[in-house]
Amino acid sequence: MTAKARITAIDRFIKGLKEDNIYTDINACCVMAGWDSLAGALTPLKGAAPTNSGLSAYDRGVGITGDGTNYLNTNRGSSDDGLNDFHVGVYASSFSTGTENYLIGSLNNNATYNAVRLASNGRVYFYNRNGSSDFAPSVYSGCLASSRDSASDMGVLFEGATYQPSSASVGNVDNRDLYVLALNDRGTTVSVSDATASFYSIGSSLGSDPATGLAALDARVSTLMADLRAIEETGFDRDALAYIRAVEAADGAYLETDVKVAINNLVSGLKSDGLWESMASSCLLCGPRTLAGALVPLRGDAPTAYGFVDGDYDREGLAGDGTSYLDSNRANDAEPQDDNHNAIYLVAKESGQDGFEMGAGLSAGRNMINASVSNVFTRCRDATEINTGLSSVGSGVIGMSRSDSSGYTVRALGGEYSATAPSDGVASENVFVYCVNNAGSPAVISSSTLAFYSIGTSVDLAKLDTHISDYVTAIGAAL
Amino acid sequence: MSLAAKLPYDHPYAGGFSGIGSQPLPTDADALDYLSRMATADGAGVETGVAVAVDAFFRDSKAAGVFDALKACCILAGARTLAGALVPVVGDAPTNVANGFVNGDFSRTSGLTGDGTSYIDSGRAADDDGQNDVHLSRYITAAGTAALFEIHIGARGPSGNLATTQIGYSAGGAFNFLAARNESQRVDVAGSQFTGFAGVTRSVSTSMTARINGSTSSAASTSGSPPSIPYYVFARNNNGSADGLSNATIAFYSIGTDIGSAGLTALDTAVTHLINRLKFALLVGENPSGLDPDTIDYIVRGYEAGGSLE
Repeated sequence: MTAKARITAIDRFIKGLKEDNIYTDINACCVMAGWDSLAGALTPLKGAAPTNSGLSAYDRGVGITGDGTNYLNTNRGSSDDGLNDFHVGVYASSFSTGTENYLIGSLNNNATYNAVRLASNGRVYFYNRNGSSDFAPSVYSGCLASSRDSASDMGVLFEGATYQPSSASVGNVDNRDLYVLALNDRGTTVSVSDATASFYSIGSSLGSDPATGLAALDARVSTLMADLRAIEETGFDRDALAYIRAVEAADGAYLETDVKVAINNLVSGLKSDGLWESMASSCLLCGPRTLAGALVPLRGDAPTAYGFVDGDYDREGLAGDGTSYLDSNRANDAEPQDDNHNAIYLVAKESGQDGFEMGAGLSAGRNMINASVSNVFTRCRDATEINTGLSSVGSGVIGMSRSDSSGYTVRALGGEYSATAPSDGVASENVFVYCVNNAGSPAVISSSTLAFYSIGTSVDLAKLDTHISDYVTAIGAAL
Repeated sequence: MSLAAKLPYDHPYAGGFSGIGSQPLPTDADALDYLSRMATADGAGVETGVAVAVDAFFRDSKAAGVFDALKACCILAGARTLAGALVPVVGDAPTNVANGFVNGDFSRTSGLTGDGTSYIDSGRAADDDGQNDVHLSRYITAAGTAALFEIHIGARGPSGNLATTQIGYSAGGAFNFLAARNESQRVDVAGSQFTGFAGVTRSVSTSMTARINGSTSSAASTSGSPPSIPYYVFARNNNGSADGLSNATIAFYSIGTDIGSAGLTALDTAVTHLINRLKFALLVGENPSGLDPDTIDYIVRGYEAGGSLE
């Protein structure tokens, strides 16, 4: 059934290009998604097959991810199409700026570029017969292309809009093949990218009007890619899909299929074990591409981040620094006094002073998780600190859950402890992560690296541990 | 192969059933007759995916006005067995001379592969069609490797009568040659042995037209009186003896009356689409009906490269 769906998507794409009268303008093209392997993905829709210098990271949902070393030679020369009759385009499921890299490009001996360049200044540059135009991106995915049908103007497609900057063409004095995920700099491979490319196209001007042709290409390619991504999500849980969409919107790029599968398995597992509804506020601090994506709530309200910057996040966890923290925006007393859980996934324990991983309040009714030097200390609706004796050395889920007034259960890195600790109230502050909330101010801030947090009513901690640990493992394998 | 595309086209549920959806079925009367004969020869039903590919060929060639010009023709792919492949689309059945070809030489997706000794007698004599009203075509999926030259289809008269009609390749000269009623005044196309469609056609005594590798060209050529001997496939009937034996893989041939330059192009398109649709049905396992030919071509190439859309 999925094969038929992929075939239908590709067929609709090709028919659409023909309806838009731009199919014949495409002279070299690969659809680098949908197929089960690189062998299929590198089969040219039109033109010569590309030569792969060694790229191996392929995801049928999003495409081929660069490794900073390898690239595709399209085997389409920059002069194989007319000087003033040329287009070059690429669809990226993810890209980054900040470090000089190219989604596609060639540079000829007379300094003529034909390229989509991601510049170190954070801007995206389009070159078509050397004429250039540049933009500041607000998202890091989509179809990026240029098309020229005259010596003086070229059309540019950027973030779904077309532009027609005045730009004089300069002839190629030699014929350099365009590379994908790198620049062919007069025969030398430079500025290799780590972006994820899903499609490229090279050929003559897209129709008689570049703006119209580029818009048509954008619509057809974007629809194809959305179709192919959606096929990988067949049967996904509705809430998992909603979360994935929200993360991708925050990231400005599309998630890899394996990451999406991990998210779906997590949500489905949490639901099947009856944990989902108990999680009132939660974030997956690993998996998404960016800090913004990581702060998209899996459940409940979004947290407010204080002090964290993009560099603190690396897709396998968010590293504290002893000053930064999250306000979960979930009041500690939003759950009943004797029906509560707090949990984190500890990736790496802090190396500096002993901070608290999460908590609220500093007196009666406190909540606190502290992965201390060697042991885990907790408070759950109780001013009395409990040394659980559970090891804090390593990585894994640390959580506590109270379902009655007499005590609560603690689970840490696979071990369990039953704390005899009557509840003595419930602090009303919002629960902070990476510290404890003392009347609105962060206290004892941790520098641990966390991959998850959750706040809610009582849960089966062993089951929660299984699902979260499986998720973290799956993300590690996916990246 | 999906269940729907795998069902024989004449199965009661082939057209549609709850749970397997609906799909187009073959409708052309001549195609249905051919499919029925193929199924009998195969001893098993023709899958719907294969059947609609064949049906499309009949409809395409009729729409292009070339079907009636096919007087002897075989689709040497798609069938389940060699016996099914040798069922003629039109005309007399060919003869597998001395049973040289065996089932192991036959591939449903690629066609029939020669071995340098086996050949087929088409059963259609060169003079069954007019001196100036003739066409010949073949579709190969893999080039042959004969050392000097090889003929994919052809007939040549006795010495001194070189009113030869043939399509072949000279390995020594590295060119493809296509002749119609004149062996020396022909179309030569330099390069490797081109796979795909090739054909010749003649409608006048002074010139002939040929198509190969997607290009059509004509040559001044004075026609001669054709010999009264049948065309061979995988070889040339050289005045009663087979020579120029080929080990190429041939998926289609046709013999008949003139189809003109436009007809050659149309037959090329129809045969190319036929072979791609058969490959699609068999490699991908889905019904090719309704898909754009370029979609089919692209997906087939992807599967042949080792990819899958499953």
